[in-house]
Amino acid sequence: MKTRMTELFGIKYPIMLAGMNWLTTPKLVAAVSNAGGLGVLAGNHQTPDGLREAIKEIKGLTDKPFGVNLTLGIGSAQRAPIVIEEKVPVLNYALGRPPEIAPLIEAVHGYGGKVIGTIALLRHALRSEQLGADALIITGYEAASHSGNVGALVLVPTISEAVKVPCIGAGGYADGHGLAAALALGAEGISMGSRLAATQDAEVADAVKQTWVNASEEDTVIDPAFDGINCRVLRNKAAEDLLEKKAFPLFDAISAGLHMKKTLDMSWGELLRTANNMRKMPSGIGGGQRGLGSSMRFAVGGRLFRVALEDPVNGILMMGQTAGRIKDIPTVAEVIERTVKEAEEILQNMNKQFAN
Amino acid sequence: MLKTRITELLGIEHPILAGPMAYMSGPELISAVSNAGGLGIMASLGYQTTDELREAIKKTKQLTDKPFAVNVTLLPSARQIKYEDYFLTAIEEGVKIIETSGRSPEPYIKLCKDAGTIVMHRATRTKDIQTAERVGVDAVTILGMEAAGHPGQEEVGSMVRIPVAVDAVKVPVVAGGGIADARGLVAALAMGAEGVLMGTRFMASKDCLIHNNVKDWLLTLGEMDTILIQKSIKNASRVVRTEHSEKILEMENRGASLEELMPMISGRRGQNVYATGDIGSGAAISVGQVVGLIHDIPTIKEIIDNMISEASVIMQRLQKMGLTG
Repeated sequence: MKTRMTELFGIKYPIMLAGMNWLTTPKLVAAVSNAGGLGVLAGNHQTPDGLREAIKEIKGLTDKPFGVNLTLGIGSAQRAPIVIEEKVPVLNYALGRPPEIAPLIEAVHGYGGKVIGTIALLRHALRSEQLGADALIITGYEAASHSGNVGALVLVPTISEAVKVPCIGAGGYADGHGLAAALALGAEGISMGSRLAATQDAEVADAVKQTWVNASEEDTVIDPAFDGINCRVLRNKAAEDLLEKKAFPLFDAISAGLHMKKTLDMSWGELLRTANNMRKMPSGIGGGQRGLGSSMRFAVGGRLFRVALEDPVNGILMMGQTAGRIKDIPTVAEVIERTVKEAEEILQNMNKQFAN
Repeated sequence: MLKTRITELLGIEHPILAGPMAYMSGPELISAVSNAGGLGIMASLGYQTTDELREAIKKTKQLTDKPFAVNVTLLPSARQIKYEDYFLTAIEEGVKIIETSGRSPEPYIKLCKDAGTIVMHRATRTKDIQTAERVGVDAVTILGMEAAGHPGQEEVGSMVRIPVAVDAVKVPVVAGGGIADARGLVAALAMGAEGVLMGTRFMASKDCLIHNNVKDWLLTLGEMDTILIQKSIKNASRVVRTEHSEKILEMENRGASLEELMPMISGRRGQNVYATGDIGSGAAISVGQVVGLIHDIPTIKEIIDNMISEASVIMQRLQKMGLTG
């Protein structure tokens, strides 16, 4: 299988792992790369030293290309240099502003690496392309965690017809049907999150994997109540509680902020900058409050996201609508191989239909 | 020529259906769709009496000898409607296909089946198309959150809705919401749908009898220029984001009652805009997110012909990726 995505990254199949904080452990990342896809490590949830160790660990587990995802503005100033020093083959950034994005792209290109921008809005797609990104991840409304309001069926063709760089569909993809559909819409591949996390290779509690299997496409909710900007999560008790409260006691927010500072090894300045960045999220993917409330939710949400890794009832579990398509817990290699095989079969059959 | 169970069932050439649009899907528009090889679906409740509906059906039969359908929307309405009379009128006039929506068509299935009429049901939830299949419909249409009109309270995207629906029922599935061109058609077929339903695309066509101002306005709208109103009254509706529709949303957020909302959301306001082209007069105009993919105002025949020929081009492109052996 050959698309502009496989060519660009030198991978076998046009499938990548969505960088998901806490979920994309080195083992999962390497499993995806070893299976012919592009594994991506989320790089915001560890300390900077932890990130460097994780990158080294991946290098020990695979000799195939892999990537690191960085949400810019959240401790990225300390982390981006590590990605560059380690010459990570693919940097995938999300959010951020041109003064931070442009030098980053230049640095990665400097050692021959590739850069993917994750976007949910047309204007950000155009900007990322202009800044030099080599490919774009187009996040549809169906996706877990943050997205805009436009469904993948509309957003993928809207953006892929507006830019020249290869586009990768994200949000709503779990199998060969989705891969074939994404390619038809003008994408050159897909990014899968929930589907690749509900695998034997993922290092998350079985209760969480089983939650993805059991949930239907109607069991999610998207709201700024969880981390300050629109975020799609499992509609469980913890989510309902946050939706009802709609406000945090100040004490919770402060203690969660201190917790975040510690686990991410942030300086006070970095913590305040992060809080300030959360406050200024771009419109269109915000949907939420502005101001300090947003920063507070980010801190509290961050803690509840971690609880969910062990306890999907009392934690906030990010989950896409694609949960309705997840029915088993195979290995990563099985997911990737059957996705490709299924897409090929579907398109062969359609070719016959068209020939008739 | 693209043959699916939908083209076979409905006796049409292309698996492309025109979703019924209030005050737009009359004889001219639906006959244009059917004559182009698709299936036009008449919005029957736009006619205040069954006599008017009967006239419209007669006129459509003069304009096309191809199959077309009549939709009956089984939703609570401001006026008293005897739905059975709408079914009977269509059947008496020899309409071969009836599309239902809004509520389970169960009470009317026998009536239709006894007359040999094909029944299709359109819904947004998986469980509702399963119910429709159980009560005996011949095909179902699943709508994703991208759709104009009523895309459902749950807001699930077509990318997930379609394959889930295909797995959930045995009858053929038509996909609606987010489709305006060959890319959407091929994607929907790849996900297992056997036909597509389009509304907004046909609204921006020469054959749609609305004021040209409205069509020109559609061309200026992007994929983010719609909002969902009426969620508070459990009848989510996707409309163009305007001062008027944002005011409705604001009223809903304040907890406005149905009585307060009624004058604002009345279909009469839309009807007036379609007739006069006075967009600023304040109406909630239904369009799908797919409006962002619409850049021209061709004839309906051009739209359908182009979709079919472009679909072949897409298949060739996919073949080059090494996908089709």
